[in-house]
Amino acid sequence: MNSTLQVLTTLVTLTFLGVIVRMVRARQMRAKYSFLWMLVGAVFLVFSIVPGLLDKTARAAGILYAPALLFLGATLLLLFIAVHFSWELSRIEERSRTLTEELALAIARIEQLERGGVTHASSSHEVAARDADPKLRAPLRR
Amino acid sequence: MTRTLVIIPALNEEATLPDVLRDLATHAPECDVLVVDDGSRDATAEVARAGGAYVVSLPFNMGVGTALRTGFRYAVRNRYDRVVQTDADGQHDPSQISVLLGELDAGNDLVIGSRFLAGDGHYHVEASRGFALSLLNLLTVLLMGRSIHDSTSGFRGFSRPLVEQFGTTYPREFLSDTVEALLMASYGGFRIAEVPVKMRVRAGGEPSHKSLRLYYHYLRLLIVMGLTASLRGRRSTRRLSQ
Repeated sequence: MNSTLQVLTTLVTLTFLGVIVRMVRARQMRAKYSFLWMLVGAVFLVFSIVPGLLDKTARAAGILYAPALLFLGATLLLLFIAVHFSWELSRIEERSRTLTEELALAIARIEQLERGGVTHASSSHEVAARDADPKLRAPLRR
Repeated sequence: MTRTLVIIPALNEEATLPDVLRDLATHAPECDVLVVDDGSRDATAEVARAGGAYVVSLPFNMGVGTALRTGFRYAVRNRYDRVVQTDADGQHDPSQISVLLGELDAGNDLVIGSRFLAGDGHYHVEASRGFALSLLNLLTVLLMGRSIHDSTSGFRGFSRPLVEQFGTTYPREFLSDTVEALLMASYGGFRIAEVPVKMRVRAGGEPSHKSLRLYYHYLRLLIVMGLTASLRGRRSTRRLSQ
């Protein structure tokens, strides 16, 4: 009975790890994200293979009901991941905002040049001066 | 020669923009005009071009803050000495631009055109908005040590150094784009002035936000300001100890 469960959880964990590795190899997931999930998979694998380890760990941590340790760990982990993603998302939003602005400015400049109109910074020395001045270059980072 | 760029953030303003541009050509002919089309679905960009303005079109709606920051970047790259921000709906009177420019020339970095300093009391706001504005006024007193009466005014003048600063840091969210920017300028050590200007009743278009969302934005602003203020305290002490 216990061994059936053991085999089942081990298989599920191995499948999970396999999927992660496949995604990384197919470059569908960046390695930096995969490390976290591989770590999670590894921990689950150890708990699946070694019977009684969860109970022992829980007792050591002063938790009477072993599954509670599992829930606690999972909750904390997901919380950490959610916060990390919010941070990552804010960064990406700021970058996409900057890119949108830069794209709009670049298109406007191209259109002006195509119309044969003189753009403000049109002569080559002005453009060169602009590119040399760090304050005038596109600041991609805040 | 001092070059001035008037930036007009515009979202679906094809109806009012032609008159605004004509007024600008009459009252501020020495200024170049840039319309930042914030993802409009009408003919805002075409109308602006026909009215003699430079146009930058954002591919989708990003909000006034982003439209303005795009304009600041444009101004920096094209070497303007100062910037004036004005609305596309005609409530800001172009003849008052000279008032803003005068204050910039006097050495100020951020000049706010105020509806409320005028004294003749011709501009009335409804009670709920009046309350919100006094709250914001209190906020400026607490965080800046001085009173700004019309902190949400979108009729402003910016000096070149401030334009460079805002070209990278200008806030994107509603209300932050006016109030938070004001505090950023204050914390950055820029000189701020508020001058009375005559304003008109909106020629068209809707006020940008409705009640519930407005409350959310006020709450968000208060939280952000609280966080920024504590951060600022830390920063200034660090600078002192160096």
